[in-house]
Amino acid sequence: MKFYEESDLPIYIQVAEWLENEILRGQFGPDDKIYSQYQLADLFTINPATAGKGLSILFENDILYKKRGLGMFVTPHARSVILSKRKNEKLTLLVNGIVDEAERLEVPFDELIDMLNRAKMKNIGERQE
Amino acid sequence: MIECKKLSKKYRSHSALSNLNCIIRENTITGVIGRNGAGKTTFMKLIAGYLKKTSGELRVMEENPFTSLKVSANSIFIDDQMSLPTSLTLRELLNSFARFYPNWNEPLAKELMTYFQLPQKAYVQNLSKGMRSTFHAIIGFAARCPLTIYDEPTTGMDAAVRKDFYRALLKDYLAYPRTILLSSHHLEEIENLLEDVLIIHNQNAFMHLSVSELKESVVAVKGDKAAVSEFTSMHNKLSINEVVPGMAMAIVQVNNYIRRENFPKLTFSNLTANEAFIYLTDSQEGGIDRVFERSELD
Amino acid sequence: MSLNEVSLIDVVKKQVQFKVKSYTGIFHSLIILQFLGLFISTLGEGSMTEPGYGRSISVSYFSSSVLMGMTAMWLFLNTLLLTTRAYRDDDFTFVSTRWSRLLANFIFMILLALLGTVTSFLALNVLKVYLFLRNDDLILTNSLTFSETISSTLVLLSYLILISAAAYSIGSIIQRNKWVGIGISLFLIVLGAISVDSVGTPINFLIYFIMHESSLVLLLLKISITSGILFFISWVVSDSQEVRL
Repeated sequence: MKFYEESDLPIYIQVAEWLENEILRGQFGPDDKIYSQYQLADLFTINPATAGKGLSILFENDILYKKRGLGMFVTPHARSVILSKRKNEKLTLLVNGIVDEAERLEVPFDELIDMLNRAKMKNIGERQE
Repeated sequence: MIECKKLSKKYRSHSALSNLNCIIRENTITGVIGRNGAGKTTFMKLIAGYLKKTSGELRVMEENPFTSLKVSANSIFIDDQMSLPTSLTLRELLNSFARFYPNWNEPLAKELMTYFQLPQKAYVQNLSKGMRSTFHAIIGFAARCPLTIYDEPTTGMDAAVRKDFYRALLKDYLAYPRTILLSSHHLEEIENLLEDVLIIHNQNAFMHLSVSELKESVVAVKGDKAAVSEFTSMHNKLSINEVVPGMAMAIVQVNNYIRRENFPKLTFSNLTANEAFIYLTDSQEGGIDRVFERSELD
Repeated sequence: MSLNEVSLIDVVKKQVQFKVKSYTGIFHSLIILQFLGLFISTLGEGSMTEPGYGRSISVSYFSSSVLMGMTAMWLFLNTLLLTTRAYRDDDFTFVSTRWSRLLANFIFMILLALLGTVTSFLALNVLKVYLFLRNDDLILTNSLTFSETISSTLVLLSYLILISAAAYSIGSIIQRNKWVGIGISLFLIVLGAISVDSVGTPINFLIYFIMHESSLVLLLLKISITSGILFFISWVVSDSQEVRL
């Protein structure tokens, strides 16, 4: 399992994002025990301290909580925290980029909305197949 | 585990290490990184008790490694030039190590010998360079020493074996945490394994930090020439070049986290740990060519 | 990971075991040399023939000095080799300090001297048997009593240990500084050659002090003290020796 080499983000951030994706995917529900730093280290061949750093980011963001001696668990509201965080950070960034690019290419705003709609329809179509 | 204060080592006329300070914590994997001739091997041989320091202070396991039986019994130094008697077969050599090192993991040694297809009855002098390095690495894993030092352990190994080596090193570390020093020319190959990086540059401990700190300490900025120079004036500039008239690209060492949204006119990109290391230790002003050769450095 | 406490005695024991196991070449060379020595000895050292009236007496001398000399040479050279870089680096690949290595090497040297003594005596007896079988002439041997055999064995053993200790100190000095070591050796050889027979020189005094002692106990004591001094010199010289340079 290799995912970090394509990206130039620090590994611990990639670990945190990967775990968030796993939670979004439903692999881990509320109050489920998440991978330990040693499991993560083994999974990705990374130093356990780095993996631990990834976990502590999620802990600080209230996505995980600690049970003494038992490990880290997913908080009941983890999903919504991740969603709103992603919306605020990643999606905002992407949207800003789209708007910038559209202005550069002189695409009118209405047309941009149309493009977004089309992308949405395409996704729905794919899901129905 | 290891403490150095103003550690210096001179050979006859030339100095190999001067005034090196560092503390290496127990049960960490530390990468010892440096350009050729920076003093990495000297540093590690001092720790192993092979060499005698010229001045300064060096404590390993709270003792002077040069005279300490405790350090010798609890540490092992692995490199491609390990001195082994030529009269013993690989099997007999492993048996010898097993007698000397109380933590010896015989099942692991056996399995690894089979996995890497090393013939038990062969002699070290008949092994190829890569096979020999592999054999030494197996000794390093199986000895399970509280302090394990690998100096360029992958010399001669092919890419597949190198990958296996790193994986084995990590798995073994997870099972039996210990203090590991690992030097390599290929920082990009080992950076994920490391907790800390000790950069030795000009015979000195130039930087001692975590891999992510190293990565974050150097950024590339691109944009309007004026904006770039304004930005570089606030930080330690490692290299700057005009890409096209009016557009500049700079490599900058930063001391604290940069909020990129505060600099809308600039494009930031991260460097790999290896690139960061190269820029930090480059004595000449790096040219624009370097930036374009980034793919080659990888 | 918790640190292992090790005792010096334990490490020295393991180092000696390791040397016995891995320095096979030393043992092979002894066997070859003993056979060679045996062969040369059978040729005899000298003979004289006394013509007489109608009969002549022919006397041949045989002695074990060639055998002993070869054993001594073997021990000297191999001890010298023990101090060389290859052996030193090998030791530090495993668990070792300079002090434990010195102790292990000295114990190993004593083992070698013991082996040299035993095989020399065995070879000597082989020589006697051979001569006995070859000739039906009169054989005169200086037959020794049991206690004489023991004491001559002890003397040979202690001389071999002394030779070994001397070789080790010379080797250690050479390892520290080639020129100083070679200089000292040359000085000793020249001085020895000049002054073996002349009274009053240091070498002569040394030889007289060690060789010309009629009391067994005193002889052994003197050899022990001299070996001890040589051991001390080896320690001083090798205690700060670096490895894997």
